[in-house]
Amino acid sequence: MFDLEKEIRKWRRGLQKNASLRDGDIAELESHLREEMARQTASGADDETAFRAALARSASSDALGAEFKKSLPRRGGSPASRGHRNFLAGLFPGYLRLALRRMVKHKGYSLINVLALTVGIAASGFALLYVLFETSIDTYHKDVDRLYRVGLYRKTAQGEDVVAGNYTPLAPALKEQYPQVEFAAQLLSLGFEPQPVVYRDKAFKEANICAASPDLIRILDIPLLRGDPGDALERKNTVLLSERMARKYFGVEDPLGKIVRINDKDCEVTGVVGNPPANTQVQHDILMSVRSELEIEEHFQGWKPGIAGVVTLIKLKPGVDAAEFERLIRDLPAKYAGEVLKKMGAVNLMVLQPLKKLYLYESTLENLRPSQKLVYLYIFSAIAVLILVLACMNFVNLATARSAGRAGEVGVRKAAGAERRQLIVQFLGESLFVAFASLALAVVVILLFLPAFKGLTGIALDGTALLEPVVAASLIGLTVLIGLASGIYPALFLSSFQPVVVLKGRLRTGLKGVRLRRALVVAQFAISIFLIIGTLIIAGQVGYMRGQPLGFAKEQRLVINFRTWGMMENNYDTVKSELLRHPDILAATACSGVPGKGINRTYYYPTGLQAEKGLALRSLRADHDFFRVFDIPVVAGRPFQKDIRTDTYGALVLNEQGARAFGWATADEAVGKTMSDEPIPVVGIVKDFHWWGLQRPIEPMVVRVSPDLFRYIAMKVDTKDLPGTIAHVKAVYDRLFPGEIFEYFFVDEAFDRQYATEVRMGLLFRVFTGVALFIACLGLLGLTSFIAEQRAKEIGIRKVLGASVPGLISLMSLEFTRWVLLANLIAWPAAYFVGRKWLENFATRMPMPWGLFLLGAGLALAIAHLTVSYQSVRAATANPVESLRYE
Amino acid sequence: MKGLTMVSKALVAASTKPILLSILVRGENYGYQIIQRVKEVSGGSLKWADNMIYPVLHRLENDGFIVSRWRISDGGRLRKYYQITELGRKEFEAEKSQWMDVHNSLCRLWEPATARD
Repeated sequence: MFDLEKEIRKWRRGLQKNASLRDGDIAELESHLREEMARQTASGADDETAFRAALARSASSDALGAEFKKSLPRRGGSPASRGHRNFLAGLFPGYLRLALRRMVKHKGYSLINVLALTVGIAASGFALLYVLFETSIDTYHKDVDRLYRVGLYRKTAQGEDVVAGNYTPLAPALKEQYPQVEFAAQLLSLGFEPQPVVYRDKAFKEANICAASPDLIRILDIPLLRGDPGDALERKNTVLLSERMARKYFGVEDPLGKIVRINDKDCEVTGVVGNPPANTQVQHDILMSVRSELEIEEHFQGWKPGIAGVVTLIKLKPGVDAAEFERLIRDLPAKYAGEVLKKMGAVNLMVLQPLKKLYLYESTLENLRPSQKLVYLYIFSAIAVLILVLACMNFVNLATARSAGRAGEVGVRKAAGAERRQLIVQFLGESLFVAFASLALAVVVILLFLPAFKGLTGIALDGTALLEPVVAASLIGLTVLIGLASGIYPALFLSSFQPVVVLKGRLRTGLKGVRLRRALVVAQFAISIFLIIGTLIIAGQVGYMRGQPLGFAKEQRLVINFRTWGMMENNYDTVKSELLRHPDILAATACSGVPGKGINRTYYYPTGLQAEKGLALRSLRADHDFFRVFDIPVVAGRPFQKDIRTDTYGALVLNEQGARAFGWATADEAVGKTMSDEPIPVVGIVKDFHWWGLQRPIEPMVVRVSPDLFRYIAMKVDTKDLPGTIAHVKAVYDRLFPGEIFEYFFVDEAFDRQYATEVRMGLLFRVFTGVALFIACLGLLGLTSFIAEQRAKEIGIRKVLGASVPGLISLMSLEFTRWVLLANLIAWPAAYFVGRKWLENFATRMPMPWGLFLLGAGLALAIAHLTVSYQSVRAATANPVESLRYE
Repeated sequence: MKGLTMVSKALVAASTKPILLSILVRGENYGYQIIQRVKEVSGGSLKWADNMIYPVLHRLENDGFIVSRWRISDGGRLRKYYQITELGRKEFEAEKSQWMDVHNSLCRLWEPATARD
């Protein structure tokens, strides 16, 4: 069977091989061929005869080529002849103007494209800033590859871990005994709570206080702006202030030699250091000499296992092999504290932890593993990439959808002699133009949303962050990539049109790209549904955790926060009874901690069983009212009683986990046993309660009445006149503790702060999901309007034939419904897999919420329909006369 | 076509330019139609390989004698139309007078002997 078009294509390909013939020339020759054939067929010839006859009358490709070559301009010899360059100049005054004009002409499409890309670039810009900040933490130090923290690996019968705090004498020992060590510093962070700092009339509570030995400023290369470097941190009771602290307390005064009172200790200012950058974990705003701290605290003396408080930072000399050095020092604990360790049945080893990896990795004995933070970084980078991909998909989608409209342009341009390469450059130019326009807008968006970004991530950045070479280069590179990625397919696709075919109107490009576009929309919705389900899972888990019984009552519990331990060692009873005079204060307890706050571990063992059953367990110090104030039930034995003298210091209460950890099968069995060598009797067992958020399991805990470590007073209050109650509490406090700064908080607030990461994650996820959905909907909107336009005639005919408006709307919606449902098939397994992985991080996790999957699918479907409905309704209600008039 | 003598190749080549200009001076036209017109006026004695006029048209365009533009016919057919320029008209006049000179000279040479002085 003779296929005319196939033969013509073959003939055309033959001509295309001839370099002298341009697309326009070939188009003209083809036009001639068709005219001739039309004449032949008009006089009765069949296609084949007409084709052969027309060819017979033409010159061969070679002869033609030779003639065409002669016809090229003699001067210059550029392939684009003067003639058609002028011709082009008349029609297309520069790609840029063309691109602009096109954008203005198709306002809707341009808006969708630019908007989607703007949002996409802005979102990934934020993700970039976030990732860059997080990965820059403590990686910028001078010689960072030689800086290490010496961590402590601990193993007992109950388990193993690696902690930051190490033996106190480790740093001096390393420096003295190992020539590999250039510097070694002790670093001690002071307390869980901010401490008061006073100079004359200026008194504030400061959070960033630490104590360190002199080598710290050499290891971290902290610039000493004022003061003698040889004296810095050397003497007892001296302090270095950061520039901003010096200004805060001394203003224009010279701080050197002045005395500030830090947590009741007079310290001489011996220097001013540069402000710590935001991206370091050592926030050295107030840097005290560690000597004053270590020498007064008896438990810091010597090689004592179980006292893990002092961080050891070292700088190795150049060329020292860290792994080898780690092997050398690994067994130091056995050397200095071997006997005690043996008695405890514990193993302690030294672990070298690279400083630059401390923030994003967690140490194990053998290696580093990514921490939760790094996982979140990956997740957000991935989401940012997904959003960008969505925006690019939109572009490709709309560009190919509109290809039918542009086919004519391509045909004319090619016929006029434009080469395919030129057209590709033009289309890529257009997409790059759109991408850069979006970048400009995205920068504005980023600048506008920097404060919101700070609220979400806690990272304060100003606009100059965008000018950082890395950021600027990444954003521009990204934009070029987006422009190319989203432009290349449309460019190749559009430029491949054959002019004659297109201009004869026989190209149904709108249908040709349909499969691709369907795939893109399905992919977009799959991504959106995945993100929706992710958001719902996070929100669900946070809600689930908050809704779980904690085992204690956290609402309406007011807490006074004392500056340090033991301030009310002798008068806590007086303080309590003074407070209880107020009718709204229902109960009060003095304690060393409240749920959600820090809590130390102390080492305990059943009497006589130190080696077998020794265990460092969470250690709470509280008076006999604690369980009553927090509504924690006693399941066996009795609670502490005020009238039993020996209960103070001489008795202890365990939680159920504690009893189990020591090997007692039931609570009743534990009561009456004794602990440690003193021995201290176990008088009662309380029901397990969550000290930490539900991410963490309930740990074994011991409670004792030790007034020397009390630092909080927690009260059960009636909240009907809270300001009055707080005023009363403050009055009592000010009277009994003159000169102290009154500070209070509510347990539920402090406790919920533990979910800050999850809440923030959820919020970030929600924002990103919103952005992704927005982009997907933009794409859908563009596509529907295009399809509605294309199907206008079909709809017109259906209407004339009696189709109802609702029928037509459902006809159009049905297609999208199918796409969204298909997208679910892809999104569900991905969401299930990732969701399950994430939930594994929680000790208490909700069951896999299948309802949320359905909800996510339903939401996506509803949003898709909402987006589509406008166009569908418009198309369905349009007057068929309008759409059919030109048929 | 029987009995007709064909114009020689060299002469065809030489005359193509004036012929194209002559057709276009009467109005805008496209390749296929131009060829039909030539066949018509020559009665088939001017024989071109059909599509060989296109390189010539392009050359004329490069020389600035004609300009072209693409148009779509009512039947949806794509055609490239050529139009003579001012420069082209001058060139046409020049060609015309040259060919007329040749024509007159030949005519005079071929006049019957009776006309001799």
